[in-house]
Amino acid sequence: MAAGDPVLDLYERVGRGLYAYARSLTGRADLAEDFVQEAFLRYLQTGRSPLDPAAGPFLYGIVRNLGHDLARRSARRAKHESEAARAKPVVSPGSEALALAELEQLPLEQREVVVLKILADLTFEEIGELVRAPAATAASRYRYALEKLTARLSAPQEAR
Amino acid sequence: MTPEEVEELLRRVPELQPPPGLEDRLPRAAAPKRFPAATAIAASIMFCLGILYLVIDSAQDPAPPSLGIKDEALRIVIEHQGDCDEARCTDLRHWKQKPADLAGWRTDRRVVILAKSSAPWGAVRRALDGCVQAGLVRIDYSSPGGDRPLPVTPPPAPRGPEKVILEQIRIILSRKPGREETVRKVGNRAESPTIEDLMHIVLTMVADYGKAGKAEAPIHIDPGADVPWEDVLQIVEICRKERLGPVEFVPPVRGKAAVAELLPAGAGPRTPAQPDETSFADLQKELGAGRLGDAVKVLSDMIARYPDSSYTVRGYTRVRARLDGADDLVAADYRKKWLTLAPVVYDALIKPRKFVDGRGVLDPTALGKTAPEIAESLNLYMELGYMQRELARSGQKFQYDNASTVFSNVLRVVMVQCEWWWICKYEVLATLVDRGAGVDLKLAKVGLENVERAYPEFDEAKYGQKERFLRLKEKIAELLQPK
Repeated sequence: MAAGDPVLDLYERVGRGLYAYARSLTGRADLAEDFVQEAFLRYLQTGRSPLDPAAGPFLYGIVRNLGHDLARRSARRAKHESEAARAKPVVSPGSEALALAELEQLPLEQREVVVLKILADLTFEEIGELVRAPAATAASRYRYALEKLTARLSAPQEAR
Repeated sequence: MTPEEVEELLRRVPELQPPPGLEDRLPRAAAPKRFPAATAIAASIMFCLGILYLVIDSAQDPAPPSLGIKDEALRIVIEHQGDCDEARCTDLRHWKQKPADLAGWRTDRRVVILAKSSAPWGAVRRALDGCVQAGLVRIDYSSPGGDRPLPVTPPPAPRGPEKVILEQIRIILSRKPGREETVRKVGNRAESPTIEDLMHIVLTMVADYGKAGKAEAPIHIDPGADVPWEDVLQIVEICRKERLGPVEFVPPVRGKAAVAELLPAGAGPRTPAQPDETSFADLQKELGAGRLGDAVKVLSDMIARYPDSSYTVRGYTRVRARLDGADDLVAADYRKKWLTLAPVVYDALIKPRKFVDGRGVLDPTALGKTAPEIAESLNLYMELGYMQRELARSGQKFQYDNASTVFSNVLRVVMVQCEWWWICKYEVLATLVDRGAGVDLKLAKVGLENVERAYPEFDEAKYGQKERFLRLKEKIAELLQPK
C-alpha cells in the first residue's frame, strides 16, 4: 500500500466493506471486483476528493445502485434457473461456507443490512440513509436476519 | 450458536474478503493539495479541544455502563411521573424512561422495554429510537396484558386461481379526539370495528403474499403517539404468535395536509424537504431508471402516508401510465379517491400556467425557459392526458378526446424522434385502442403501420417504446380478429 495516496487510503478505509457488500449483492467475486472498481471510477469522475468524509457513503451508494441494476437485469433469467442450480452447497455445519450460503438465502433487504453492519461496520443511521429506510427499520431487519441465521446455522449442529 | 458467534463467523467468510491486488485496479486521483499552514494550526487546536472535552467528560462519568454482565438484559422502564390520571395521560413529558441515557451500553446486550399498558406509544417509540441510536438492537418488550385473548380468524380458503393484488400491509392505530378507544384500520380501508376484523384483513393480505410466491409478508405498524402501548403490543403479540411478519414500526410522519393546503404541488411556497415531495422525487427517479416495481413500492408508501397529497395523486397518475392499464400492482382502494382528487389537483396545477392558448394549442413559450422547467411542464401536461384517459376508462368516455388532444399537442412542439415524441406517438395510438369505438381500431392500425414503415425499429429500444409498440400491435391484431 503506497502511503499518502488518497485513493489507496480511501480503499483501505472502505475497501473491505465495499467488496463484501458488492459480493453479497452480486453473489460473484468477479462482479464484486468490477463493482468496487466502477464505484471508485464513478466517484472520482464526479470531481470529489477521496479525502472527503462523505466518500464512503457515496461509494456504498454507487455499489448499491449497480447491484440493484444487475438484480433487475438478471431477474428474468433467475426465474428459469433450475432448482438444482440454486440448491445449497454441501458443506459442514458451522463452517464459513455454510454461513455464506445462508447469508445468500436471506432476502436482499436483510442481507445488505447484515453485510453493511458486520463487514462494513456502518451504524444503523448510515445504513438507513443508504437503503432509504429509517434507522429503526434497518435495525429490525438486522435483528430478523441475525435471528434467522442463528437458527439456521445452529440447527444442523444440534441435530448431530 | 449465538448471534455473536454468527457475526464472528460471517466476518471470517473468505469469499467476503477483498482479493489481494484489487487496489491495483483502482483509478488514481490527482495528487492531493497540501494543507495551508492555517489549516494545520486550526486542526491542532481542534484536536486539543477534543482531548480536553474527553478528559472533562470522562471525569464527570467515571463508570461507563459497558461493564454490565453480558447476558443480563438491560431493562428500560417507562413510568408515569405526573399529577394527572396515569390511565389517560398522553403527555409524553409525564412519561419518563429509566435509564434515560443509553449511550455506552454494550451493543450486543439484550434490552427489555417495560412499559405500563397505558403508556402512550410515543413514549415507547422514544425509547426504541434511543436504543437504535445507541446501537442496541436486541430489543424485547414486556407484556402487561399477556394473558389477554388473541382473536384471529383465518381467512376463507381460496376456491381456485384468483388475481392477487399485493399492497403494503400497514396497520394504522389512532385515537380520535374525545374518544377513549383506539381506532384500527389497515391502509386506506375502512375502520375495523374489532380487532378480529382487523386481523382477518391482515391474514387475508398475508395469504395474498403467499399466493404471489413471497416468502415474507412485512407488516408495518403505524401507531399515533397517543395510542396506548397495550393496543400496539396486542398487535405485535398476535403477529408473533401467528408467525406473521417481519413486523416493522413506521416512523412518525412529520405532517399531513389536506389537498387545499398542498396546491399547487411543486409551485407553492413549500419547503423542499416535505416528505411527500421527497417521496415523489424518489418515485420519479425510480420511473426514470425504469424500475417500475420500486416505483410502485414508493407509491404504496405514499398512498398509506399521504393519501390526500397532490404528490400522491401525481405519483399514482405516473405509475398508472406506465402500467399500461394493468391493475395488478397499484392499491386498488386508492383508485376511487384518486378519481375524485385528480381533476381538482390537475385543474389547480395547470390552469394558472396557461400551457394552452385560446385555440387549444400548446404554447411552447409557456412551458418554461430552461430545460428542467420545460421537462417538468411537459411531465405535468402529459399527466393531464393520462388522467383524462383514466377518467375515460372509468366511464367518462368524452375524456378520451381530451387525452388525445393533450398527446397530439405535445407531438406538435417537441423534436421528432426525441423521447417525448415517441411516448406521445404511442399514447395517441393507445388512446384510440382504448376507446375502441367505430373506426378507432382501424385508425390505430393504420397509424401504427405508418410509424413502423417510417421507423422499422421504432425507437430502437432507446426509450423503451419499441416493446410497447409491438405489444400494441399484437393487441390491435387480436381485437380486429373476427369473433
